Parts: sequence; C-alpha cells; structure tokens
Amino acid sequence: MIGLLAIIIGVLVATGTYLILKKTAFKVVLGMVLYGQAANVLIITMGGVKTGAPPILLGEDGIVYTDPLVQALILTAIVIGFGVTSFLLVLVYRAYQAHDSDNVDLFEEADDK
Amino acid sequence: MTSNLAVYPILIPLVAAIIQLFFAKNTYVQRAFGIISSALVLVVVIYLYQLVRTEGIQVYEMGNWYAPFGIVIVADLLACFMLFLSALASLAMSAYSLADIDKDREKFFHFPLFQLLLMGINGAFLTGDIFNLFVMYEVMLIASYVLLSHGSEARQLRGSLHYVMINLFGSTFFLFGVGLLYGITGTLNMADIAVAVQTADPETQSMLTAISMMFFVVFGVKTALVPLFFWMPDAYPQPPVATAAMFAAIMTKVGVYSITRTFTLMFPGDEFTLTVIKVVAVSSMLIGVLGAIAQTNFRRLLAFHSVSQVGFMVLGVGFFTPMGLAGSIYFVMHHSMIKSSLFLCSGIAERLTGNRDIKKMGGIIEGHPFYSALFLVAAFSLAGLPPFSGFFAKLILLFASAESQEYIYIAAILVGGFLTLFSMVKIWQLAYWGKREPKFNTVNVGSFVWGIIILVGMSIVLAIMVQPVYDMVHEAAEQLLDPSQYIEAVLRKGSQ
Repeated sequence: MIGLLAIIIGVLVATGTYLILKKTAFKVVLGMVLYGQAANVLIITMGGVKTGAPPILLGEDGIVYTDPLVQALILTAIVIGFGVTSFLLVLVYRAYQAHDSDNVDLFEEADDK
Repeated sequence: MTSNLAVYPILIPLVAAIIQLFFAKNTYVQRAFGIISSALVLVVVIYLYQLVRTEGIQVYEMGNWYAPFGIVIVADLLACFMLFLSALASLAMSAYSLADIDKDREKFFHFPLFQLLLMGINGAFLTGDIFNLFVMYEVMLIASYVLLSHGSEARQLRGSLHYVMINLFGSTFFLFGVGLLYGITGTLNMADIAVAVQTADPETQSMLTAISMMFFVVFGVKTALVPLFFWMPDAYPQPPVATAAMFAAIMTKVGVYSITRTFTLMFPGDEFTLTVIKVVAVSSMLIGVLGAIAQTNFRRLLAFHSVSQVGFMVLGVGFFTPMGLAGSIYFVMHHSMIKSSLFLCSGIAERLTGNRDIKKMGGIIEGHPFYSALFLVAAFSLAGLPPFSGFFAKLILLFASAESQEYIYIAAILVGGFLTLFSMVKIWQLAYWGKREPKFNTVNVGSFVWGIIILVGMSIVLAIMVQPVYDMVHEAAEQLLDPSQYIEAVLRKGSQ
C-alpha cells in the first residue's frame, strides 16, 4: 500500500513540475494544485497506512489505533490550499484582463517601460 | 514559568483587525485602532522581555494541553527581540500610512489586512510547533498576498503573481518537510523534535540532514536568499510604500528567524549544513549587492540590497558561535529599522518627482534638506560607515569571523560593505544632488517624515547604546546555543 502511495506521490510531483515550468499562468496554477495534493498524500503516508480502531482510548490492551494527527494536518493544509488557490485564480484572471494575455513572458514586456 | 502574556502579541492585532472590520466605513477609527494595537504590542513585548530575563522562557499552553501534545506558544529572548522589531516597524508604518495610503485602499480594508499580517508575523515568532509555524506563515502570507496585489494596477499584478506563485511553491515544500519530519520523529513540537533528533540512530541521521536542508530551502524562498531571490525585486517596487517597507522590515526577517530557530534548536551544529549556510550567505551578500549596483529604479535597488543584507544575517547564524549569532541578531535589528526607513524615503522621493527612476530625479536636497539628511543617515548606516548602527553590525560579524578563524568571510563582508556604499552614493548623487528637475510636485513632506524619524532615531539609539545592546543580544545568542533551556521549559510538564 505504501509503495502504491509512493508511486502516486511521484506521479503527482512529476506532473506538477511539468506544469509549473509552462509559460501559461493557468497551467502553473494547476501544477501548484497537484503539488499540494502530493504533499497531502505524503503526509498521510508518513502517518503510517494501516487499518486500526478509531483513536479513542478505551483502556483496552492490544488495539492498533489509526493516527488522527495526520488527518488533522491534512484538513488544515487542504483548507489553506483551497483558499490560496482560489485567490491565485482570481489574481491570474485579473492579470489576464489587464495584459490581455495569459503568457507570463508578455507580462514582462508590458511592464518594462 | 507559565504565563499567558506570551499569547498577547498574537491576540492584540487579531482583536484590532476584528474591531476595524466593524468600522468598515469609518477609516479614522481604523487608523486609531491600528496605532493603538501597535503601541500596545510594543508595551507588552517590553514587559514580556523583562519577564523572560528574570523568570526564564515563557511558555503558554493552548487550551491547557501540555507539550508535546498541544500547541505551545514560547517566548524566549530571540522571540522577544523579533517581536519588539515587528511592533516598532508596524508603529512607524502606521504613522507613515496615515498620509500615504490612498482613499480607495483605505476603504477596501488596508488597515485590517495590515493587522492580520502583523498577527501572522508575531505568531511565527512565538510558536513552538512546526506545523503551527506553517499555519502562521500562511496567515502572514495570505495577508501579504492581498496587501501586495491591493489596487490591482497592471504592473502590480505581475509582481504579486510572481510572489504568490513562488511562496505557494515554498509552502508546499514546507508541507513536504513537515510530513517527512513527522514520519521520522513522530512529533511536531519543536522541542520534542530536538530531543528526537539528538537521540536518533545514525541511520536516520542522513535523512534528517536532508529534511533540514528542505527547511533551509523553504525559509530561503521566504527571505530571498541567493538562488531563490528573483521574486523580490519584482514584488517590492509595486505596492504602496508603507506596505513595501513593512515587508522589507519584518517579512524577510521571519525567514531569518526561522533559519536561526531551525538550526540552533532542531538541527544544531551539523558541519555540512553550516557550510551550506555560509556559502549561500556569502553568495547572497555579493550577488545581491552587484544586482543593486546595476539598478536605477529606486525601490528595485533597495530590494536587491535586501537580498545582500539577508546574507550578512544568515552568515552570522552559519558561524554558530555566540558572537556570530549575536552579530546576526544585531544585524536584524539594525536592518529592519534602516531598510524600512530607506523604503519610506524612496516613497517621498517618488511623490516629489513623480518618478521611480533615480536618473529622472535630481536636486531633491533643494528645498528638502531635513528629509535628505534623514536619507543620508540611513544610507550611510546601511553601508556601514561609523558611527552608525550598520558599522557596529558589520564589526561584530567581522570579529565573529576572526574568532572562528575563517578569514575569507572577512574579505566577503568588507567587499559587500564597500559595494553597498557605492550604490548608496549613486542614489545620493543622482536623486538628491544635481540639477533640480523643473516639474516637482508639491508634497507636504512634514506629514510623511514621522515614520522615518522614529526608525532612524531608533537606529541611532542602537548605535550609541551599542555595548548594552550587544550584551543583550549576546545573552540571547547564548540562550540559543543552549537548547536544553528551551526544551526543559517546553517539555516541563510532559516529563513529570
């Protein structure tokens, strides 16, 4: 299971890197989203992937609990990522309106005066 | 010693921001609360510093969940110094923005955003939990994204797009680092991580070094160290001057603070990491200042200087001696006052001449001698001429490199300082001396200079009181190099 997740993380990061290196601003945003997902999957993998009881201590011995902390971390990370991504999308759209182009290089030319 | 005083520097700006939002239409109330909040934080921080000195590191346990299970707020001497700087800078920026921020930005929540930025910054200085550090970074960054793109002028959008993208990338990297660290040490509390790293078996040691380098990359992005600095000269010239000055004064220092904390508490004294830090620092010092010399845009030049100056601070951390760290902290104090006052000066020059290019300025000194003198003091101080604070900051670092017998850094510091002087003289000659441009705007300079007077005045105090201040930062540096104090204070209850 962990091996499978490792492959998924690898694919997400590779695809994300490819998209981030593009010149179209929107594709860069998509790359960022993939990176964020890769980070989330990584954190859940690091918590140890196992089937266990809910993490409520009942005082019984010999029970394997799942790690609740990683889920809390990911929840926080997802919320932050969601907020920042939506802000970034608005920003890209405003830049597109202002420069009439989605190409990062053309932004530069417009400003060097 | 448990006291809830440590949480106030985070709470006060948050409460101020909420109150300001209730007065969305009334910008006068917003301004008043902005200044009250900064002044209040300043008072609390001075009191907190006294408490830390007399009673040891202050720890506040959120919701009474003791470490390592809950999130702790930890105030040690270094955190107090940084909080003092952020409060001072925010006070000066609030004073400056009274005159600087235009009506539209004021109406669209400039002041509440500024308070939220302050909350994130103070939180990053105080938190004792690595994931909470990530969250505080995000609070700070989200507020800064909005402040930077506020107003959405075309060129402002490009600068902020770069800024948001590189920082989002950095944050994702931060998450990767936190995830890996959690997988190895099984904890997120920084003090507990420090214990786990000390007792880690040699097999995982190389993995831990790799993770520590990941954190170095993340904080390097936020402070704009050399290979990762390209966003900064694009971003800083765009927003209103008060915002840019606040970013230069404190936001870059948050990264320096995090580097200091990471490599003194969690991953202390590893030979390989220290070498990497020093090499990166020296290349920042030199490449940044060379970049600055080539610029003619006033604020872009200053932004390049920030890259260079951050190198000096990080170099002090790289020495890993009490003197090196003390020099680093002194440099942070000096730089956050001087660089922000230079940014404010550039704002006045832009208003006077209606131009951002120093070649098209000229003759500002005519009619504005007092303001020009303020710029000159700040510029000489940045370049490190005696008797200003920059001189002592560099002197301590020179002594530190002589003490560790690494003479090549002495040369680097001196060359960096000389080139800084060169670029400052370039601004002085082109913008302040020379023939007066005919079409000057009439600007009431008197309403702007108060912020600059506060900052330059403080830096002069820093220079006059160099011995007592040095003793104070030296004490903080010794506390940093003895992480057992921090660990004991945080994990006190857990070990019982």
